[in-house]
Amino acid sequence: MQFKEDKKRFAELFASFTGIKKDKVEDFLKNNEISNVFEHPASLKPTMKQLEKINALKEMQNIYSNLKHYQNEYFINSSTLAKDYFINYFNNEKSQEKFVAAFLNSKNKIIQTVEIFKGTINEAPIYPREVTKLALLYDASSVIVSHNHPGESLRASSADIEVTRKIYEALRTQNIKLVDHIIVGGKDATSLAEDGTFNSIVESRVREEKNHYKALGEKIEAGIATAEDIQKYNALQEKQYQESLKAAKENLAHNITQSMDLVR
Amino acid sequence: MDYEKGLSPAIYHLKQRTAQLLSDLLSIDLDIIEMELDKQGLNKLLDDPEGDTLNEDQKQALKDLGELFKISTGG
Repeated sequence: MQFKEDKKRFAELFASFTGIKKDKVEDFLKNNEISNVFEHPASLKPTMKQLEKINALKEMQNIYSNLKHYQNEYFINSSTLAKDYFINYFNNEKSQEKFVAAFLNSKNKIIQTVEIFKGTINEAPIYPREVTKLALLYDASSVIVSHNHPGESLRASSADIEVTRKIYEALRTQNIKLVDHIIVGGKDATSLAEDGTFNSIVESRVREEKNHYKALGEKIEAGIATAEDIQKYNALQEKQYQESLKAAKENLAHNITQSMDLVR
Repeated sequence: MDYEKGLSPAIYHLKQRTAQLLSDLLSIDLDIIEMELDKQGLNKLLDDPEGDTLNEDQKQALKDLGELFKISTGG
């Protein structure tokens, strides 16, 4: 039950914005909550013009409350924040499974959060393509995906891990990082980055690549490599070189920053 | 309020719509509302609008609207 003073003040303000008489709004609020004014505006018997104003107020209120809800969680730079963000996002949704993606800029600020799919995860082979397409559209540097388990289980299924791997691979081709996959069950969540699933995905990718590189090298040495094999071998070699160069640069930048901190 | 400022298309359209709704509800010129939204942001505009572009009645109307939303969203 909302406070009487709130209802009185709301009636006054609502009347001034819509042109509906204040007494009429107050009468309605005697037996109704404030939200009912927006949900059942016809009860106030408004004119067409007044109804348009009510609808505009309702739309504006939705924008206002959404922005208010997200403004404190606009930056996600840890799995704890990511879990909080998506627990709030799903708001204990139990009616169906939803798969969403948050697209982040280089400062970990959310550019946009988009619902990608409704339904069970293993029925949606389209995720990786959709997520990559949107990441490019939003010019995202990184992405966090999340889905809810209406049954509240926090355990990642094999389909969950497989879809994570596919999205990780798809985004990697565009130099976009998949940072985490959050599974929300009721008011709790689990982070696949935190529980080590992510590491095993990355490690298995590196292992596969190394094995492939080794096998191609052996074929070349044995003189049975095709032109395509040699091309792939060279591409992998170049990639490894670029990755080690990138790691060295990052290491150098880290050392310089640390030295500057010491000087300060 | 344009793409050059780095807004994603979805946020750009949301801002445009917000400006349009505020302009309709408060009968303030759309250009002025767009400019003030860019300058002050929605929360500031509905909480404590500043500047000389808006007159005192318009500032009060914006604050009233903010108060209405705060009451109706319970905070």
